[in-house]
Amino acid sequence: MKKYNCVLLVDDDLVSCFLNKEILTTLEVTDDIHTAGNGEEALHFISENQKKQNHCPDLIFLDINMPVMDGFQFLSELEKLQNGQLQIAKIIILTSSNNPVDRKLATQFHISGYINKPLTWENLEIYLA
Amino acid sequence: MTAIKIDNEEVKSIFRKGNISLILLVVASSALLTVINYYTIRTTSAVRAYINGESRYSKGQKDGSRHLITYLILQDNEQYDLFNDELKVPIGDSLARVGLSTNGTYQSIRAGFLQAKNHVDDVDDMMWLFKNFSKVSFMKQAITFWKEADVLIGQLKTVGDGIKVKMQTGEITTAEKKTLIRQIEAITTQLTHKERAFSDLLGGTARTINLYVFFINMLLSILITTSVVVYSYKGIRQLMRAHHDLYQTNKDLTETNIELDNFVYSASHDLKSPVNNLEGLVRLLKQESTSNTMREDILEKMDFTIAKLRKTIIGLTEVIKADKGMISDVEENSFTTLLDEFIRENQYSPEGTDSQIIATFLVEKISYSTMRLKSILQNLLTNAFKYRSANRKCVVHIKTELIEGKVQLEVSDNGLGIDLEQNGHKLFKMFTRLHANHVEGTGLGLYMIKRIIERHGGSIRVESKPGVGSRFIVTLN
Repeated sequence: MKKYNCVLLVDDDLVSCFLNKEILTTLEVTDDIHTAGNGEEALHFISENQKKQNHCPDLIFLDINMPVMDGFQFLSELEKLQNGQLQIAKIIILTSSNNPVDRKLATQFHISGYINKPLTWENLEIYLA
Repeated sequence: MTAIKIDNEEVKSIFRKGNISLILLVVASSALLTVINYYTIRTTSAVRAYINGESRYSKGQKDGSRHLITYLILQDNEQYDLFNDELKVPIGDSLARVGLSTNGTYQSIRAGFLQAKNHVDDVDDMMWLFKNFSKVSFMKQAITFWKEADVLIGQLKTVGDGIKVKMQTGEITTAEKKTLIRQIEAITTQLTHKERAFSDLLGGTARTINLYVFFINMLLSILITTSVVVYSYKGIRQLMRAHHDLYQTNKDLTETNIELDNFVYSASHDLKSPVNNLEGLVRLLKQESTSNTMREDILEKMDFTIAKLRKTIIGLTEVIKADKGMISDVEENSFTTLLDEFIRENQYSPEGTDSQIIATFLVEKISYSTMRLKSILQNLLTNAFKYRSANRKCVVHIKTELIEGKVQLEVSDNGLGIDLEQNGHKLFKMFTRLHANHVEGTGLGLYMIKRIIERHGGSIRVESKPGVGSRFIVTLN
């Protein structure tokens, strides 16, 4: 499995963040994991670290239903911020939502994957192999 | 939601008062039309028969006069017989008239008309017209002409018989012949006047009847057509209304289905999340490599997750409860009483102790489901407390007033406010939480009260400015 420099977990569910962090650490996906409680915090983190090569996340796990700024609002803002060039980071939506509307909406953005929670070794392998 | 209305009501409505009147009007008009046309045909047929009869009467009388004059000149007995034969026609008519005027027998009247060479099929109509219309002015006048003509026929017959007697007893002088011929001519001329008057009167009457009947027919046809058009219009309108109701019901059902789908998806999302988390935490707990400190942390997270799950389940139960039996527990509620109750229940809560509520109830009472009105007030006031600004004391204004006949409830605060441009579209959606670090919120409150308000026929909207505060405006009914 490819190793990433910096992974950003965007999720308002603290327990979910804690568990995902554990899995990513165990599977040695990265040595540098950060969390953001919502889209706004994630945007802030990205713009703050954009110039620092090592801290700019090259893999983002993004929840959809979050306060302040949800996953889709975050993707829209990020597109604006990067002029549609989202190749800098690999973005995987990680959500508990079964709603086909969410899945359809997700296809409108440049994302690398859509995973239904929980995060497991199996579904990680599909997207990160 | 609109209930399905395609039931007996639609069928009954077809037979409502107005519609019954229309149907009766059409039936009555049609019956009247049939009767009028039947009698018109009978009357005009009889009038035609009388005019034809007059023609034969006239011909018989004129031919008779001619034969009588010829007899007078040529002294040919055959001519006298022909005179008598021709005169049988007007005499037959005369017998029929006398029979009709004096309640004579059917047979004798019929025999008279047949003697006058009237068609056998016309006889009954002629008798019917005479009997039923003899008192009506046109027929009365015609009968008078007829009677006068009959008198003249009698005179002609007397003249004829006198000539016959004179011929048998001796010569008639030329001078006498001339006098007799003048007498015959004078009677014939008078008869011609009477016959013409009779014919003209009946002909004119037939034309007048035709004109009246034409107008009556037209009037009744217009009445029938109008009634049918009105009835059809009503029917079409009812059908359209039924179609509209069906369409609306369909639309409502589709919307309810979509709503239900969203409800299930959203509910499953927020129920699945804590279950996933608990699974993950249990797995970690089972790992031998997990340190004791870590285990304590995990247990704490499990407690937190379970509490969250419980809140979600309670919230969902409330939503389901709020959806059920909407109108059944409607009663008169006092806003002051409900607010006092809320203050009493929340005075010791962390938010309640440091908050101020200013109430202006311009409308004091409302008929509404108590449980749901409580829920609306509780959610709006609790939100105002919960999303307060850390920089100032929380002040909440609650106000009711009557606007365009509807009770409006307003709850405004000086709290965190909402960025409506960014999040307004999802404010009332299920499990929407707009503020970070307020984990106690389930994201169900506004969703639930919006459902309650709309199902009671009301609406809710919000005005807000981040950092300044929010104002929720509820139209209750």
